[in-house]
Amino acid sequence: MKEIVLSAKKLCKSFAANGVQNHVLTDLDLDVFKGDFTVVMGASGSGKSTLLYALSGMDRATSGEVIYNGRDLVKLSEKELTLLRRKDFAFVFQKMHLVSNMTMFENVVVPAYLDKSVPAAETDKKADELFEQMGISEIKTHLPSQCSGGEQQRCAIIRAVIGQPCVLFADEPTGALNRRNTIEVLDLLTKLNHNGQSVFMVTHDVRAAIRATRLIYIEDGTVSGEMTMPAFEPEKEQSRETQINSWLSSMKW
Amino acid sequence: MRSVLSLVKNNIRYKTGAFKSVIILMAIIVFSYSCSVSNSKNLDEYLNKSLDHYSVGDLVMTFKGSEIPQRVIDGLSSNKNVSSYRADDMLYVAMECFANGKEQDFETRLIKQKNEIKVFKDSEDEFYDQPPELSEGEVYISYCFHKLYNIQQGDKLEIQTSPKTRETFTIKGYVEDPIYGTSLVAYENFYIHQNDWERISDGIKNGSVNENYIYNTKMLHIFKSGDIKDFKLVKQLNDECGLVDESMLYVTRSELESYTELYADVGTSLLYAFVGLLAVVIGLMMLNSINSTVEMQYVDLGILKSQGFTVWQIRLSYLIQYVIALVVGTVLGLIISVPVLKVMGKLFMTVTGIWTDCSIDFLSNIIIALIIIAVFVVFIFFATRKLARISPVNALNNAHKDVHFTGRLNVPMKQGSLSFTMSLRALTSGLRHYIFVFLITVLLMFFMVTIFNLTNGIDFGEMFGYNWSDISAKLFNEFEQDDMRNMRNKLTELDPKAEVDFVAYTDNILADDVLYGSTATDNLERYYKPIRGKLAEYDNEVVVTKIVARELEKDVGDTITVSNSGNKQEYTIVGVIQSTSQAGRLFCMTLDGAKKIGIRPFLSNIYIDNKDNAENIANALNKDLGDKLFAKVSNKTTVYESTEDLVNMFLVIIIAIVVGVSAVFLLVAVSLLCKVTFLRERTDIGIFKATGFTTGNLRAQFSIRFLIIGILGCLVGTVIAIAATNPLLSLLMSIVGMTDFMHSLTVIEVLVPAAVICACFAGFSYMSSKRIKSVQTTELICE
Repeated sequence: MKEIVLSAKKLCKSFAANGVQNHVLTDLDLDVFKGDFTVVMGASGSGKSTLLYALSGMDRATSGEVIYNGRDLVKLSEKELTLLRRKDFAFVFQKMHLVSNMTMFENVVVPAYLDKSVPAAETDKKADELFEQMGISEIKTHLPSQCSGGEQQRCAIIRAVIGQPCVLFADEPTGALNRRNTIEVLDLLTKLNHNGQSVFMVTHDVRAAIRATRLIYIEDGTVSGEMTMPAFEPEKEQSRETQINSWLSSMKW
Repeated sequence: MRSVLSLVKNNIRYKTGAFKSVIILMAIIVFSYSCSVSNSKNLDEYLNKSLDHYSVGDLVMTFKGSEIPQRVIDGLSSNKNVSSYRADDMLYVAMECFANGKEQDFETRLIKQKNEIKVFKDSEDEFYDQPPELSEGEVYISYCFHKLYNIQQGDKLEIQTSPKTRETFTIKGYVEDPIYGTSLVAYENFYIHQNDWERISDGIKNGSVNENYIYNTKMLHIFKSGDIKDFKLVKQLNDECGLVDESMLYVTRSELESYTELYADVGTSLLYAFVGLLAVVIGLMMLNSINSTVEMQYVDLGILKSQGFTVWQIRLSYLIQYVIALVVGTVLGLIISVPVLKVMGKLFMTVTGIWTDCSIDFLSNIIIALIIIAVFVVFIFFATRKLARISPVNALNNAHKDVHFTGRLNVPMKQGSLSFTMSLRALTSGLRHYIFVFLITVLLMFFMVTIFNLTNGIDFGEMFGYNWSDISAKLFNEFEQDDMRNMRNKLTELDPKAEVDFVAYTDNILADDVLYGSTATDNLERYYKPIRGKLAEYDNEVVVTKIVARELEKDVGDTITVSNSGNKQEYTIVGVIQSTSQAGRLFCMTLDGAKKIGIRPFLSNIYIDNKDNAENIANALNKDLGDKLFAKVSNKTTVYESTEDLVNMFLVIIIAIVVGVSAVFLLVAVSLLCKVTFLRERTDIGIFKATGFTTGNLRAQFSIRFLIIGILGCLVGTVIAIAATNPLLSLLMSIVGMTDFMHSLTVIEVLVPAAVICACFAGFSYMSSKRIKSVQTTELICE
């Protein structure tokens, strides 16, 4: 039995536009399990990103519950949500979003410094190790503008995982990358997942989706399909892609 | 053109650039100069009207006695540069008067009531067409006298007519007195009933009124014909008929105007300096705003170019946008100045005694505004030249990246001082974005320190020529060298450590044929400090002010010929001093030197060891030497206190205006910069929020960033102030004779404005940074 880290119950999210309510998520129920590499797919406007906001506490659901550690994220204050993002959740964005006037290294350690319980020296040491592991230690002192998209995204991933978050949320992390960089980033996420990191990723890209251990398909604001898969093995990449394509076809992708 | 106007409309609608800020700042500029220009113009206009109403001559001479010397009359009649002259009878009161029992330390003239005098109605906002007739025992006093010393209708005014007798008058009302009505002249004219006047005059003749206390004088008004300069006519008349030599006091109409308008002129000079500073600030703000807009709208501007807009059309849209802001600001400033000018006019009336209609001079102000706008138009064209460099291809390909990053210093990020180091990094990585607000801070700090320096650096006693002896004695005309010796001996008996200075002062003495005031005393050290050279020690030496030296084109070592009542002597200038007496048109010499040209001391200042014994000593002097002098214990009289209060009130108003306007400026500047910074850093804020920074953390960083700018600006402003404040103030205050303003800045004078500026920076930026709350981390996610 897998441990549930996040649980959405009867989750609804609607937006008002020109006086008309637009229901993006409707009574959505979903559990996120520890150690899973969960990938959410769906057509544009199906509510994937909205689900990511709601589950990660970036945005509040209109109704329903998002339970994390026994607490409903919907009811948390802005400050409590900020602290959650500081310690428990982490994010990787499509556009990397590194602060342009900080070096790659500073982009990683500065948010980590916020956790006063960890001494700066320990954070720096850990960041050094991660840069080494990710193979980008030579660009530590570079500014983001001096690095490639892949390097920037790897830096963003280091920033996300340095605090050992419970869940790593990724929103189209390879959307802005070329093929080579995409593979590098996906390998990295897969490696992190193999080491026990829970990953919750939204993507359109089947090549990214093949890294999943669990696939969720969203349609009209609710979960319309789900598929579990074994952990990713590079040699089975082709067959996983075929399997997912077939599953997506059945979901009318 | 329609396309350009559409651009302008959208820019304004979507608050692109510093539209609102420029409106506010322009309104402040227009408001500041509009008030000062209109107030000065009103004062000048109404003062001249009043001087005309009272038929005040171009030269106003006072002669002792009830007749003007015949040779003067003959000289005036025969001089072709004199169109006419008129003489008024006056009683000159040499002793202090008392209002409601309180001593008033100025000299007064009693004048018979005339129909021309302008008497205020009870509203104090208009005059009687026909002034109400005075009854015997009633007196009209000047408006300033009434306002400054809070003397009301029905109060009692007493004039000392002999050591033991006083004439008492009841105050009936207040008049506008353009001659000596201003609070800056230590004379007062009192209008009394003809019978009272004649009774006192008869008393002088029959001896019931002591002539040392009150004597007859004639005030002669001389009207020029042609364009001859005052000093040339005076010299001509003195050569021909001894006009100056025969007179006891002399003043020109233009000097009367200068004295009355002194406060307005000083205030206006300061305000002009401030307006200049504000104009520079607006220019910087527009430059910064245009730069930021170009950076942030790089893609949009590229699109516009790709759609066929020329650089000139885009520049024109900016120009029109800012010109609209400047015009709106001008209109707003003019509207605000209407009620403020009313208040300002009332305030100045307290000092000048001249009623004005407090109207705005729209034409002049609009012309000035148009000049300012024209300068800014050139400035905007210069500032928008970088638009030509925008490439549509680059813009559309988003090739213009990291617009807000220009460089950085390697300040390491520290966990313990994360907010500070992040703030510092934000600053150092975008220095050019903060330069304009830094420059504003430097300028404001400099100006504020200058104003604080001015208010603390003015020695009120020195400025108005007060020197507080323990006892002062007025010396009667017969006071001779022997009397001086007797007085010293008597004083030594009464107090062996007593010191006495004899002082002579005259305000109509010719030096190289130019009229000046002069002071002579046997102890110049007590009253003056030489700026250059030394003080006069011998009877052939004089010291002059810088203004006199400049006017006479003389310097230390040169000689001048001084003439008084026909006696001429050559003196060597041995030093340069500073004095606000006679607005700096003054020279000083020793008592022996003065004696050579017939000037005798009329006052003595006595300094004693035991201050408690002052009353006894004064009484003893009056008892033994009462026929030669009148001694009294010196105290800070109502006049001194009221004038000091008045000056202090003006200084406080100036400080309040400068601090208040500076705070508004900082608010506008900081808000604008915060807005631009916020828009530029919106994504970074989102990133920080997504990585665990709270809104509080980020707002604190914003404040710290501006606080750092504030501190740095204050430091540089202080350095500039140390170097430039005294020369600047010397320049501004030279109008009142303070040619060498010397005051060392104190820690408080630096810390107070610095604290105000830094608090404004931190507070305003914290308030402006509330926009950070609105940034959602969801903005980082691409749909």
